[in-house]
Parts: sequence; structure tokens; C-alpha cells
Amino acid sequence: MGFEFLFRVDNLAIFMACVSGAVSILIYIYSIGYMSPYKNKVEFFALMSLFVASMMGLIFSNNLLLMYVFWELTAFCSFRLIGFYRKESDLWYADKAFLVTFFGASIMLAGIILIYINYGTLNFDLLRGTQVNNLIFALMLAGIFSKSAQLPLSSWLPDAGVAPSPVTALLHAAVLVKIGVYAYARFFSDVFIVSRGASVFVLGLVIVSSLVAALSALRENNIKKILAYSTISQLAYIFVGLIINTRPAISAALLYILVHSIAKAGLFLIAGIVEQKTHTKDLNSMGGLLQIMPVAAVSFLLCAFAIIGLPPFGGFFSKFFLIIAAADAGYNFASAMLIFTAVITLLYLLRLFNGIFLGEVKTKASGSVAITMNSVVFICGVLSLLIGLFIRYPLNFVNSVSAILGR
Amino acid sequence: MNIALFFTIFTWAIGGLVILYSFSFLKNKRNKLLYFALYTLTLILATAAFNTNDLVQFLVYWGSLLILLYAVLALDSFKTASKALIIVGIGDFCLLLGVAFLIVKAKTTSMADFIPLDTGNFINAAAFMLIALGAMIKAGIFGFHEWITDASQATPATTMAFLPGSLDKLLGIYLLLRAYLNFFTVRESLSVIIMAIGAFTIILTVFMALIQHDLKKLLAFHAVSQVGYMVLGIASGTLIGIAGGLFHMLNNAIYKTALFLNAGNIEHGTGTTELSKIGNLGKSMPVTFVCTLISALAISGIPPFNGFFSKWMIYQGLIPDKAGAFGTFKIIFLIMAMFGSALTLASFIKVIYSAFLSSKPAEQAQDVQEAPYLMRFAVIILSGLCILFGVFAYPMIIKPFFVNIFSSEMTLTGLWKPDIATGLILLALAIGCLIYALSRAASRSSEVFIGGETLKDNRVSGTDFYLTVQDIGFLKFLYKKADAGKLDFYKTLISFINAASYVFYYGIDRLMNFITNAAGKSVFVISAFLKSLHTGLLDRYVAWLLLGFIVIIGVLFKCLNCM
Repeated sequence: MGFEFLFRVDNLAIFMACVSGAVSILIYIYSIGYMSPYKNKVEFFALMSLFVASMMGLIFSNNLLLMYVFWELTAFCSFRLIGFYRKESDLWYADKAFLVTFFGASIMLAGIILIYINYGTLNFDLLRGTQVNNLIFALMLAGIFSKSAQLPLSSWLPDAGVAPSPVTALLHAAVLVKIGVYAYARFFSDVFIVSRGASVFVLGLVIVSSLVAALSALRENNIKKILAYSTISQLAYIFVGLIINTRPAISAALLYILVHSIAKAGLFLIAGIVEQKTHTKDLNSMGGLLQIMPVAAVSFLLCAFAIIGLPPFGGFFSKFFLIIAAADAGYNFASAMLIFTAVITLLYLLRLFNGIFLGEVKTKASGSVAITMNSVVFICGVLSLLIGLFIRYPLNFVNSVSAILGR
Repeated sequence: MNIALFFTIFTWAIGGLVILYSFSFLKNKRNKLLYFALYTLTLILATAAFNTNDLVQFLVYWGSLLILLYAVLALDSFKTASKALIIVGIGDFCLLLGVAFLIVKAKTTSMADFIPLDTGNFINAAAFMLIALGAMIKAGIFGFHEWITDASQATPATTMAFLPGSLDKLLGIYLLLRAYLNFFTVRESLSVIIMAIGAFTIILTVFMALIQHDLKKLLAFHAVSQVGYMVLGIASGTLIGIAGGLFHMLNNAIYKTALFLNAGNIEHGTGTTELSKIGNLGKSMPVTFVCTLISALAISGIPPFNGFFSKWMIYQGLIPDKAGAFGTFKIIFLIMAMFGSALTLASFIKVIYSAFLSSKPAEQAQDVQEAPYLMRFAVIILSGLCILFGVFAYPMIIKPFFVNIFSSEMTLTGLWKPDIATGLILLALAIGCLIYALSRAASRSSEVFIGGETLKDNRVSGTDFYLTVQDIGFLKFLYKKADAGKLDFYKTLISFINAASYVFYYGIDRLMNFITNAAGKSVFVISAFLKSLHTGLLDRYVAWLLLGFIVIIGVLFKCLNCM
């Protein structure tokens, strides 16, 4: 039948589980400090755990239908967590996130049904190596793009910033948006084969997505929205690697997942500290926090350098290997566009740093930062640096993953 | 003896002198340990960049130097540091793309195994231009220079001498040299573009330097202007031109470091480098005066100092040996370079006069002290090198280093023989003094006759020397544009990105957001309608049931009829 309750462990799944799990643990530790003033803590941690658990289930599923079940479970968790503060205005953003991802997922369900009708099974082992037509590719892609917030289904992610900061960090770094990336790798690098024409079209789409998001980040003034646009823009890089689908490109994309998860988690958690201490998310009404929270400022710079892709941080290697892989596969224009986007990334992240930490003090920051919070963001920053300094080890890891993928 | 060793030796020599100088100069800084740590780390990473044979490793060291540059500048001003990070970062990303293309084309990352690529096809040409751009932005060319002039106002003189003054030049020119010698065989048509960038950098920034009235800012403009000569020399593509560019880079590092450190001496003594606020320092700071004079003459290309020798080599490299397609351009660039040299001299005459020879301004302290021992030591060594490398250029630099690097004997047409010429110059000076002494010429000095009026302050500060230059037609236009930031390519790029961001944000992102919101809200409208049907009244539900029943019956009947 192909509806078996089947899990399978391979290098790709291990890699994703390690990255998601490690970052989730850091976010949990941070949450202990961050959530202490709020009510409904039991609900919060229960949902967070369910969220990560369904992510793990999704990663190890060996069956499309099983994967879909976990897929919707994460959508439910994100819906509840985004609306966690129960403010009237937040609820619409929670609904929006749920509606968009559900809309994408239901289209994907149609694709899953088509696969079942055509091939008679939903088991990955039996499906491996089948060439799917462009219709199925497009249907599956709708689900993936809605989860990973690529154009045209991207607008829910910036709005989801109303959630508590650990939740946004989890959404952006460890769990939700990475599901789309993982699914793409699982479907179209591992199991199915898609036509080159279709993938070039998708390549164009993600590059536009990346550029638009990066430019939007320059216009936005809400610090969490800026970071959200940054996520959209950076996810497009990962997609580029997966779409090119050569072994070096997949290695680079996986390395990108690792680097981006840690650095982006760090940035969101710092934004959480800033938001909690200054009670604002508006870039124009803050400033001068360097003196008040130096640890956060230094960690911010470390994470930001990793996202921008400056050596010796890990982000440099993932970006550089990706560009080389793209140029090697003949996508010269694409690699030039990615570099242009990288320059814009530099501009908006520097603008964010200067806006938050430099200039004159505009808000009164109250209270000291909890040790759990400070140490977690510092660990994120240092890890971003260490990945770059000891690039050999993560590189070996991702190479062992891409050895079973790609063509 | 290879190229890496040449760069390593002089990086450490000059960097070491700057650090030695800093021991004294930065003594009272609060976070002086950070300065020393960052300076040393920069030196180490630069050495690694010069010595690595692997392109990816080179990129890592090169890029890490950008982070260090940001950190060093951030010690004094985050604003300047951000600007430097953005400008040099743009260059680094260009370089990254260029190197990616290069590696893909050459199929190796080991520099020793490179077979030079012909820049005939588009990708190779793009790779070359991107790498050259990255190198030149690092060295600081016109259009990407604003952070250097900003930094001159914000950072201590040692940072200026160390990074934009010497090390950034060494790095940028090293890469450009590699691109020309190792990576590519560059077509003339591309070289001419690079040469044009060099020539315009010389002439435009030297005009900007002419009207500055702060010593460090003036030097910063010259730090940009001098890059033009090196770029011009290397892009000339002739052996003598490339060697000249390389030698000029070394010379520039020496005299520019000396000049910045002398500015540091002046700042140490008087507390300012604003030329209108200092004067008459020749008496109280004789060592600084002599050293500044020597390095100023060197930068202006006055024989027999080192600046003249390297400029002379560059000029020779520019003279086309046969009437090629771009011969006319080369001659124009040559004239621009020579004119730039004259203007450099003009701007340094202003410096020498204002700082050392003019009468003392009222706000300057009475007892200006000469700089401490260590600081004097550093500038004396550097100025000594200016003379040594000028007079003994051939035995000290060309023969031991360049003949090996370029693996060919340097045969110069019309070779300048500095040792003999210096001897003749000294001889002429001695004879002149002798004649003056023997002739016992009478001289007389007397008070100026002013008709009994009392003159208060008739001090002439040198800062206004070239104010009239600003009113010349073309230059007036230039200065106006420069004031408005129109000549700054970096600013143009930023405003282009800003304009694009408006278009894409409102045109695509907000539009998609609107559509998504409308679609999402419509779900609630539909569900509200369906909800309104659920009234909870039994008769309504019975009516719906009946309606459904009738429809089903109708459909069934229709199907029966069909069969």
C-alpha cells in the first residue's frame, strides 16, 4: 500500500536532526530566562517540545503521507506559538501564517495524491529515482515555498515576528523554514528527478525572492522584520545550492543550513534581549545599547559577519563554495546576483547594528540581562566563528551527506 | 628570493616601526593593548596572505584583514568603521566573485600551478576586472576613498600610517601584481581601463588634497592619489612599468608612513594637525621638520629621493615602444601623472610653509616640545630609507629583489644614475656654499616701514595658498561635485541600491503582502457567510434537508432518464 508507519535514518536526516536539535536546545536554555515574566509557561514549553518533536518526525519519515502529517503538526504548533501573547492584532498574524502554510500544504497534498495515482506508492525507498513531471514538481513546490517563505508565499514570515523571540528564533533558525529546505533536498535531490528546464525556472524565482527580500530589509524599521527578510533572502541561497544539485552545490547548501541556523538563531535571540529591555521593536526609537549590553553587541557582530559571509566566519565558506558551485555549473549570472545580494546583506545588517547599538541612547533600558540569555547568544556568536576556523570538520560532515545525494 | 618574501620583509619592517612608534604615541590611550593586539594580528594575517599558495586560503586571510580593519577603526569611531566595512566589503565581494570565476576556469586553487588565462572571452575578462577592482578598492582608488579621508579625522596617526598608509597598499598592489603576472595575460583594451582609473585617481584626488587645511586629511588624499601611480605602472604591462609600480608601492609605504608619523609628532607636540593653528615648528621640532621635508620631497618625486626613481620607472613604462592602438592614451596618462606630481609638490610646499616656516599663531602653546625619543627614531629611520632607496635603488632593491621576481635583468632606456647624480648635486651645493662664503656677500635686514602705524597680526597662514584654484572654471565644477558627493562612486551605488529597494519593496513585497492579506481575509468572509447559515433553528435545518433531498432526487431521476 505504501502507507506504512516507516522511519528511516540516513546521513541527510542525521545532519538535519543534529542542526535542528542543537539549535533548539540553545533556544530552550534561552527561553528559561526569557519566558520567566510571562504566564502560560507550561503551554509554551509543551508546544515548543511538540514543535521540535514533529520536526524530528518529519526528518526521519520514510513515507510521503507520514511526512505530510508531521508537516501539518508543525503548522499547528507555529500557529499557536505565534499567537502566544493572545493579543487581538497578533492573532491575525498567527492565522495568516497558518492559512498560507496550510494553503501551500494542501496544494502539496494534491501532488502527493498524484504521485500515489501515478506510481502506486508513497514509500521513498520505492519511489527513489523516478522522474516526476512538471505538474507534480509545481504542486510539491507550493508546499515547500509556503513553508520556507519564498516568493510569492513569503509575506507571512515577516509578520510572524509578533511571536515571543525564542519562538521566532525557532521558526527562523531551527525548525519551520528549514522544513521547506529539507523537504526540497529530500524530494528533489534524493528521491525524485526533475527536468532541468523546470529547475532553472525555480532558480530564477528564488534569486528574485532573495533580492526582493534583501532590498525590503533595507526599507523596514522593525528589527524582527528586518531579520525575517534576511531569513527569506538567505534561504534562497540554500535553495540555489539544492536546485543546482551537483555534489559541491549540495555540500555548500547544507553548510549554509548549519551556519545560517546558528547565526540567525543568535540574531533573533539578541533581538529578543533588545526588545525585552527597551520595550520596542522600532529601529528609529532605539540606539546606544553598546554600553548597556556589550555581550549582546559583540555576539550580534559575530553572527552578522557569519550571515554576511565574511571570512573567517563559517558563512564565508558556505557562500564561497556555493558561488563556485554555481559558476562551475554554468550559472554565472546567478552567482553574480548572489554576490550583489550579499552586498545588500552587508548594508542592512550593518544598518541594523548601527541602529540598535550605536548612536545616542533613546530608550531607557531596564534591568540586567539574564545569564542564560547572554550566554546563549554569546555561544551562538562564538560557534559562528568556530565553524569558520575549523571548517574542515563541518565540511567533512556535509560532504558525507552530499555523497549520497546529488548527481 | 621571491615576491612573497619581498612583501613580507617590508611589511614587517614598516609595521614594526609603526608599532615601535605606537609604544610612545599611544601611551596614554585607555585601550592601548587592543591597538597593539590588533596591529600585530593584522601583520600576521597579512604575512599569511602574502605567503600562501592557495587562492581560497588567500581569500580567507584577505577577508579576515577586513574584519581587523573594522575592529581597528571601531576602536575610535564606529561610523568610520562601518563606512570602511561597506566600501572595502564591496571590493571583497567583487574579488570573491572574480576568484570564483577564476578557479572554475583554471580548475585549480594552487597559485603555483596557474597557467595565465587569456582575457579574450567575457568570463575571463569579467574575472580579471572583478579581481582588479577588489585589489584597487583595497588599495584605495578614487570613488572608493571616502573612508580613508574620514578615518584621517577619527583615528590616531599610527592607525592611518599602518593601514591605509602602507599595509592596504601592499595588499592591494600584491593582488594586482598577481593578477597581471600569474593569473591572466591581460589584453591592452582592459589594461587601458585600469590605467585610466589610475590616472584619474592621481589627478582628481591631488586636486582635492590641494585645498585641504588639515594635515592628516591632506595626507589621506595623497594616500589615495599615490595609488594611481602604482596602478598606472602595473597596468602599463611593460616589465619596467610593473617593476616601477611595485617599487613605487614600497616607496610610498615608506614615505607615507613617515609623513603620517610626522603628523603624529606634530599632533603630539601641539595637540592639533589643523594647519592654520600651527606654525613655526621648524625651530622647536627640528627633527620632525627635516624628516617631513625629506618625505615630502620624496612623495613629490624630487630627485634623488626614492619617489623620483620609481616614478621615473613608471613613466618609462608608459612611453609606448611602438605606435600601438592605445599609444595616445598612454601619453595622455603620462602627462596626467606628471602634472599630478607637480601638484603634489605644490600641496607639500603649503604644508612645509604652514607648519614649519610661518610665524607662530596665537593659539599655539609657547613651548612646543620635540617628539619623544622612540617617535623620532621611527621617522628618522623612514626618512633615511627615503634617501637610501633613492640613491642606491639599483644595488639595494632592483638587483637583489626585482631581477629575481621578474627573472630578467632590468635594462632601462635612459637609466637614471642616482648615485652619480646625487654626487653631482651635493658637489653643486658645496660649490654654491663655498662661493657664497668666499664672496662675503653683504646682507642687511631692517624693519618694515609702515608709516608709524602699529600692525597687530600680519601672520600669513599657508592654508589659503590655493584658494584661488577653487575658482577656475573646470575645477570649480569639480569641487562643487565633490562637495555634493557626486564624484563618489560608492555613494552612487548606495543611492542606486536605495532607489531599487523602494521599487522592489513597494512594487513586489508590499504588493504580495496585500494580495496574501486579501486572500486570507476572504477566508474569514466566506466562513462568516457559512456561519450565518447556522442559526440553530430546527425549521431552518429541516428546510435545508428537504432542499438537499430534492436536489438528490432530481439528479437521480436525470440519471435514470439517461440510461
